[in-house]
Amino acid sequence: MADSLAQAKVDRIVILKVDGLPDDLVERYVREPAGVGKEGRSRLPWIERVFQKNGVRMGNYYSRGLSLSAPSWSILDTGRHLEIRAIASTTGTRCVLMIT
Amino acid sequence: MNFFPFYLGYARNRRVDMPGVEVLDEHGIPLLMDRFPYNETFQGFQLYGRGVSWATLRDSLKRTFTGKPAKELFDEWQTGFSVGSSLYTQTERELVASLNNPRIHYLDYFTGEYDHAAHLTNDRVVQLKALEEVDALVGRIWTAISKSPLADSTVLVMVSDHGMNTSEAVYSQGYSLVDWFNSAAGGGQHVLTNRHPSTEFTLKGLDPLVSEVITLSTESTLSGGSVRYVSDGHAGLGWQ
Repeated sequence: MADSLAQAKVDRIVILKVDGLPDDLVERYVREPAGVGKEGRSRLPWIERVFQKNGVRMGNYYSRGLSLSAPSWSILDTGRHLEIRAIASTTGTRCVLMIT
Repeated sequence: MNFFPFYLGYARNRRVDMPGVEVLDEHGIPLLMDRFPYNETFQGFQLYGRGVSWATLRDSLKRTFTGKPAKELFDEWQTGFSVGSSLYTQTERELVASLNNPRIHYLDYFTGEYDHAAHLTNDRVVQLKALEEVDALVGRIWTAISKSPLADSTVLVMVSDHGMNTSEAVYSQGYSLVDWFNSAAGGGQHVLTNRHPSTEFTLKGLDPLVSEVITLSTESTLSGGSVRYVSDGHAGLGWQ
């Protein structure tokens, strides 16, 4: 698909957002065999097939900021440098986002 | 992250966007999805969402509580209703349906299941299971894309917001302080959990009035016994 995308017109984007997933863990388990009776098959067969064998991986694409969900997703969702810089939890049921 | 308090707050205050989006809007910072007309987008439940899909929430709750035998409902009541998972399932169902609509050009799906598991424990099996579920999700979405009318011009992107320290030797996000406190090195305490999203992992019973411990550390002096404890109403759980 990657080859065809180089020339193809893109009409649609589907983004799968996985919170807190370390890339090194994905790499490790993609390489790991699925187990007895499943030799030659990855533990993560779909990720291997779609992204590793037929797609593109970016090893140096990361959110440059706090290792917290709200600031990190703000970078990815806006393409801007860190604008939301903290999460301040005020009560058990309310969360206030602070900007500096 | 538990979004439900947010949603309930929105319902009371008639708010629409998530608080983070409101902050960004105040500063004139658009989201990626804003590059697409709103009626050409499908968005999952997430931190930076425009609007709250009340129909999705309603349908997930409906599927959780209706159409099940009384015994099954009673069993779920004892172990905790899987409303969060139900919401993910409903959102995925709607995502797949939206893929068949050629007028939808931007779609996203957010899942916090791995993050929840990894914050709870550094147990390899638990984390791998969560990761395998992500892999299966990729398979289902990819299969749906392949059958969709825009299959040849669709890009599927998988992205994570941040990593997590999963080393068992490091006192960090993935390190199980619960296990450590319960170990001999940690003083043989009787800490159960600092969260309670995975009832099958640490707790059984009526949450928050937990009545039974099912996975006590083998090093705990209470291991093997029948343990009861109650909520103190404020900071967490205390022993009785």
